[in-house]
Amino acid sequence: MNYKIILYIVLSTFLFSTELITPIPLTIKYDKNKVTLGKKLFYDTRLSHDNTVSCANCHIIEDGGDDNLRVSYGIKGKQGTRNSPTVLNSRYNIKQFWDGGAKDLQAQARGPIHNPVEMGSNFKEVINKLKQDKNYLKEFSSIYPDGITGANITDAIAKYEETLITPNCRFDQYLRGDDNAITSDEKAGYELFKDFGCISCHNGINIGGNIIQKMGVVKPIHSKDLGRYYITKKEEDKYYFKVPTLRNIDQTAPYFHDGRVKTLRQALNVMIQYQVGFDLSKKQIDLIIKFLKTLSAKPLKVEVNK
Amino acid sequence: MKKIIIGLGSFFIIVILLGFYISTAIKERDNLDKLNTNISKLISLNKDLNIYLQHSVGYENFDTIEHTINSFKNELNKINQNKFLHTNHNSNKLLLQLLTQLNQNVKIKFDLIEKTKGYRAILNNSFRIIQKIKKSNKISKFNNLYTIIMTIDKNPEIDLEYYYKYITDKLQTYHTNNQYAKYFLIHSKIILSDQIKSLKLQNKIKKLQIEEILQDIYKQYSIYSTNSIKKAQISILIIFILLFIMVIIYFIYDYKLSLSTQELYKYQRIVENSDNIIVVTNLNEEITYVNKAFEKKTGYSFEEVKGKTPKLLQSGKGSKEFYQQMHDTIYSGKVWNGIFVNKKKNGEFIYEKASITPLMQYDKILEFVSIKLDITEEIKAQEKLKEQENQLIQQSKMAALGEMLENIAHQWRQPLSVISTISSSMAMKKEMKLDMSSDEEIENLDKITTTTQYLSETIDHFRDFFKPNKEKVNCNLIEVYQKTLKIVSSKFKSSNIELIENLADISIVTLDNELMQVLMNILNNAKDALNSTTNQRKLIIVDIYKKDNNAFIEVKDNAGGIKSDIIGKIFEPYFTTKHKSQGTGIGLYMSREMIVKHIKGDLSVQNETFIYDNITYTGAKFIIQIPIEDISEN
Repeated sequence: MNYKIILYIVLSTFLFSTELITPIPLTIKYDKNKVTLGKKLFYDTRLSHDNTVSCANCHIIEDGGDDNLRVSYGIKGKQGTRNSPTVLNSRYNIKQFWDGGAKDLQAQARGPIHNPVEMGSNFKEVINKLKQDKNYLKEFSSIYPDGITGANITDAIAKYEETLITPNCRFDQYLRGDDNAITSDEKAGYELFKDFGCISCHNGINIGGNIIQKMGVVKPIHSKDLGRYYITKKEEDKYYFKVPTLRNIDQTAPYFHDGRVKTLRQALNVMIQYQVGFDLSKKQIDLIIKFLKTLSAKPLKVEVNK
Repeated sequence: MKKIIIGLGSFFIIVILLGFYISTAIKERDNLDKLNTNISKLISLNKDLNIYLQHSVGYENFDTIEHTINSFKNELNKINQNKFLHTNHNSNKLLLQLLTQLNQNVKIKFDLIEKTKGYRAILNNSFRIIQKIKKSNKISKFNNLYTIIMTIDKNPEIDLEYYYKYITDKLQTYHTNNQYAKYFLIHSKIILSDQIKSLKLQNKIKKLQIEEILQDIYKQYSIYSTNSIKKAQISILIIFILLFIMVIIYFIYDYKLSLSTQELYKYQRIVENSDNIIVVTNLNEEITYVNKAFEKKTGYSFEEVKGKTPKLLQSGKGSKEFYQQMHDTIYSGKVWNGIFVNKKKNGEFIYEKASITPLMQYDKILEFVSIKLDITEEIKAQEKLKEQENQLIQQSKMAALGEMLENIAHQWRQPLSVISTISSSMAMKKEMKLDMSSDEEIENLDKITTTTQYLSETIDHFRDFFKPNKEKVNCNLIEVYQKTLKIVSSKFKSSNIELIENLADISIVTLDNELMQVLMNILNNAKDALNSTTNQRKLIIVDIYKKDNNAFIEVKDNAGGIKSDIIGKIFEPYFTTKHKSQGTGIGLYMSREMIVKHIKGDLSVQNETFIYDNITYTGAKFIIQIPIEDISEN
């Protein structure tokens, strides 16, 4: 029995530790060749049917990792149904896509290529196009024994995306012990964030991204998109979405799966209204927004081959 | 050789088997150890997850749960990929079944946990909110409800469905301006509904019996692990015993081998160092082996003759037929014996008494072994001996001639003096003109004639004596004796030797001249012996008689016999008791040679004491034994 007690104590320190948000590591290990290749692919429009759309179209790295549009547009101006989620720090999400339909980045990367309203292509087409490129042939075969394949394309992209992290935001600095990294208002905002239970869903390293949660806990929302239901086809999963990360949140407007609101304040109101079921004063909202803005940082500079 | 290969082969097979088995056993052990670690980790991780799920109140970092889930998935993957499970299908059927079940259930559990996480997040938040509302004293009602809701986590007796229905109804009918009361009810409802859902999920998770499956897996693993250890121990023991037996067999074999090698080495040494020349040739008569004696005797080294045929040794003295006969004999599988006259490297001849043996195996000739004895020395010695013998014969003949001349002189002296006396007296009478009757004259002349006839006769005798006879003739022994006597008789008379004769009339076929020479030699020796004594009477007793199919001539004297220390040597060449001027020492040797080799008889001597005229004498007795051959047969 002894070990159970010890285990419980150890676990307790994890479970009920005061800070439920952990900072992003300052450095990561990565395979330079793969990342180079992945980055090239990320910006390559040949991944789309008519060579017009690349991953970077909807995921602008330097601008929050999303496209700042309500919903994304694919080839031939086709309009999608969902707001582009940020690619930044996406490696810390337990699942990818709003509905958690991809278990990892590799699986995610496959999606847009095949989605008719995104890149509208398929691996066969993409591979054929990439094979025309001598550099790709060379790079792929030097990294992957089986050369250019769908799995290798998505793997390289995923490897690149894994490097897309935004470490050392001011709040992370605060978490690491720098008490002056954030202002007292921001600290007050963080306290409110915890107090009103935002942290119940937005916690962990990515301040979100680690559970699938119902949109409209307190009162039902209006949404055409049924979210997780599309994946599981279970009635109980209707209106369930992956909780998005709050890192770089001030750069990823518009908000929610359908980009229904344009500002952080509106988004916060929606959340309070539908998820918390509580009224917040304007001042409280201001403080929380101040706190949320401390979560933004520049993407990590990753060295790639020239 | 085969045995060695088989032995070594099986030894290596066992060693390789052992190595292979040990490496597999180690791998299996390794896999089992890994499995053990993985299963233990799974059990521990599963406990972690269960602990997370038990506590619905309080904040939770879902990353921690996610990490635990990921670790669990990792460990499970490791187990799924453990080679051991997939290489021993039969023995692990149950384990695999359990594993499949675990995989299925774990997948369900993780989905359920994911949902639980969602409920938990809301539940926690709602708990916090109603606590906050209650503490802010903004509502005065619902104390009872609050207590119930705050203890739902610890009190399983609470009928959640009832309170959920109660709050739902209350919300529909309850109208108040106190928005906090409304929040309170809404969040209480959320708590109850999520607690219900959460408990349902927990029940579902419990029904998955992951912990039990893990325990079962561990149990199966333990059973298998123990069995595998036992199996490995027994197998290794068996292999070690096998190895041990092999080693013992090897040592016994080695010991025997060393014994037989020693034996073999002994034979090799014998062959190597034998003074006999040993040459081994293959079926094509090409030399495959020669020993040291060959190299030493012929002057050829093994390298020089290897692969060549022994023909290179041929001197050219052997006839074509000789070699053909040898060839036919050995190729018919028979042993050939004969003498080779071969040539050494330096050109010298070598006589080899050879025996060539074909070595057979199952009626097939494998090779020929020729064992040869160098008899060059013997042949040379024989030749030398022959030469010596010829010399001896010459010498003896010369001696005999001298003696003969002496005898002639002796015999002729008296008749010559008779002739001389008669002729000188007649001449003197003629000078003195003395009267000489014609009768007296004729008588004298007759006397001269008779005497000269006698002389002529003597010459004939001597000539006969020297005439070598090649062929045996029929002769009478008495005649032979008397002829001999005629030659020596004059000396006997002058020496006052009495001859006592007992002569049987025997005719035989023999070489009479040689017999006469021998007889003369013996009689002369007797005479000489007698002359060296001071005996009053000098006796020579001659007996000729026949006994069985042999004729015997015995010559016995009374000269005291031959001293016992020399009696054994008297037939040896160059042995003599006489003074240098008198004897050459070849008389008796040659005599015996003639009797034994030419006449095929025997000559022996012994001392004998006998009584003659009532007086006891001792003397030497020579016995010539001559086989009587049937004339008709000859």
